[in-house]
Amino acid sequence: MALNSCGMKIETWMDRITSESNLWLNALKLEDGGNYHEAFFLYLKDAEESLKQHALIRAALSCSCAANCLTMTADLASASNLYLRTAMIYETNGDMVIGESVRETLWSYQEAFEYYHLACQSDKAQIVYDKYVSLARKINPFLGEEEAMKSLRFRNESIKNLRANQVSSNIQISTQITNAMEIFLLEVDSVYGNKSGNAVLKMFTKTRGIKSEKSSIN
Amino acid sequence: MGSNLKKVLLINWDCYPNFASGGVYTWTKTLIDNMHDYEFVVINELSNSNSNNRYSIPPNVTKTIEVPIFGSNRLEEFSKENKTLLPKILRTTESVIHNIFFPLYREFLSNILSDRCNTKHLADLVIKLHKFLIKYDSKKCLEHYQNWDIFIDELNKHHLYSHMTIKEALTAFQLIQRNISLFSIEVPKVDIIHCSLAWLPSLIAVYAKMESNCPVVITEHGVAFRELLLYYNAYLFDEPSKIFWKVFSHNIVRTIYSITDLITPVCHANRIWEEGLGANPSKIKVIYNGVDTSKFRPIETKRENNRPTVVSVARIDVFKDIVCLIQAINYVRQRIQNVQCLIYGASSDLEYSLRCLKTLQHLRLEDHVKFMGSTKEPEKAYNAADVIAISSITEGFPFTVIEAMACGKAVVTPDVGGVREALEGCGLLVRSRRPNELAEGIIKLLEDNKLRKQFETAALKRVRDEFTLSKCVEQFRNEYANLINSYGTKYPEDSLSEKKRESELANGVAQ
Repeated sequence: MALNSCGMKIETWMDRITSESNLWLNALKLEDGGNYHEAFFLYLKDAEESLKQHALIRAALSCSCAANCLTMTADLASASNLYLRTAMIYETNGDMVIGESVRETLWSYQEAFEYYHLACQSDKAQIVYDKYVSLARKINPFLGEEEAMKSLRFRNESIKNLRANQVSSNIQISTQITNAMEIFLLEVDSVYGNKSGNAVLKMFTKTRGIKSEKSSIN
Repeated sequence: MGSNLKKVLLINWDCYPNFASGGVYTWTKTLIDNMHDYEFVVINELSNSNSNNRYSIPPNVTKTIEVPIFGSNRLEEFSKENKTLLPKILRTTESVIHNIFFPLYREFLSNILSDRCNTKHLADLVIKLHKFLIKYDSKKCLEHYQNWDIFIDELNKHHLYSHMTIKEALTAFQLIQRNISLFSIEVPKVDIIHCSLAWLPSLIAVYAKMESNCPVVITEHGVAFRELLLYYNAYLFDEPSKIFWKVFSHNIVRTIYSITDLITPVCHANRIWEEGLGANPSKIKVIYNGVDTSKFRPIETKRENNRPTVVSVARIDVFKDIVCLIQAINYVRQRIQNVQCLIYGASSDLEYSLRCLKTLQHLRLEDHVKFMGSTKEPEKAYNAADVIAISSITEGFPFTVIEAMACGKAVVTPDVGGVREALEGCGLLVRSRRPNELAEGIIKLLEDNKLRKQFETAALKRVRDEFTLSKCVEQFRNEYANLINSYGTKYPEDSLSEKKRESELANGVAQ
């Protein structure tokens, strides 16, 4: 750890991402070693913790990594379920940060679009597609729908290729995995199940005040 | 004034005849002064309460309609015509507002805030609102407290806009309210409508065209949309508001383009923007500005001293980037110690003017840069220069460049807008916002007498061949005649009965 000017130990970002207690880092090491089963649990645990801390991007990242591990073990049904949750988290993040960073929203929608497709949820992917195009064209009035969606279509193609290379298997889902999934899905639903509730328009809670002020003038 | 003359409705914003400065004013004035074969009715939307109300107009301007969008008076109260407001006010009951105005207002907002509105539908709504507001009181309708609720309701339909700050939402609301009040203006029947910009005031052309069944021409000098983008980037800091204004402005501009018969940008650079914004390319025809070569010509001018002199004729305005010019002179001074720069132009922005002064003092350039104020004899200012320098970040087809060229002066200027089209081969082009590059250009022209003389001769010839006032006016005269002829006999029944009008209104509102 580094020392500050008072000689106190401070935790840098390097410390944080290389810390042995970092669930995601440990999961990554396990995944690199080919231990997908163990890696899955750590990723899912990290996603759960991140959700509790409202760290949506990290939750989505860990959730998608967990899904990738299941894909590697050919547990495609569960992987698909986790890809769906990943997409939902990205979409929620996009909706929530729109007031602060439109670019992060666009990026989140791109991620959501990709994961909805991985989860075979084309209807939901279409909704995100529409949101993305609408926003991208708002930012650039010279952009046509075709151009706005070029990047998403490109990503969609790469997903199709990925799916074509996957081999289905009949390996039984372990009880442990089922339990871990259930806990995680409950967490997702309890925290972000009702998206619209979180994305309420913060600004216009004040409008009553303005209205009553104007009414009194009239 | 003979009644056989064709009538032009000229629509502009903070310009002729009240604000006598800037390129658009020069263009409008020269057009009117040189087209005695047309009668002009001028509408000037005023957003600045310091506008000049004492001006002189030539006899072919038969009427001026000044439309202030500030203050709390009804526009009708400014009208010189003797029309009573009382019946209008009495007619405007709560029931009328709720049953007719609110649905129209909501639909108008819904369209104007949508991503890419249906321009035909928006134009129809402008006409319906106009028909409504000439019968009912705009003040009672637009100042109704429920308008704000409707506005917020429509804003909230867009997730992004719901994150706008209250301040920006209020600004947008006020701007929309003020500009809807424009629809209460009754305009006379005319033969052709000419707008000097594609922005909110030109929405008047939408219903004026319908009433007179006549063509609409738009001459864009700086492409309103481009300048609005620059403004939003300079003065707005939250992203949702910037995007809101971008979409809103785009809808307005597209709607105005859609009802236009001819768009006459002042340069090809503007044409590219207009096409990108959705204007029909077949309706666009570039007409370059022209300069009066009998006034702007090389003349012997007595100079106060023999110092190398750089002259700039430009408003003290953020878009003219005078700070960049001052910084450039600082670089020039290091090479040519006795250089002086004379800046002729009125201050249109106090805050920016103070910034210029601070820069001047900070660089200790008081002896080298002088603010001369605006001048009524710009030809003398140009002729007293060795080199003309311009530092703008955006331009259309600037008069200052062609006027300087007409005076046989070498020009160094940023390569923005249509400047390249004017100056090609007759001066130096640099990148905007680069004081060192501007300085290098100035030094080169001051030190290289041969090059300077070459540019001076070429500039003089180019203006006389390409950019004369008579050529510009003649092109507009031809376009007016062609367009008017293409519309044939107009004035659909001047004496439209009140009953018919009411039935039209009822139909329009019901649709």
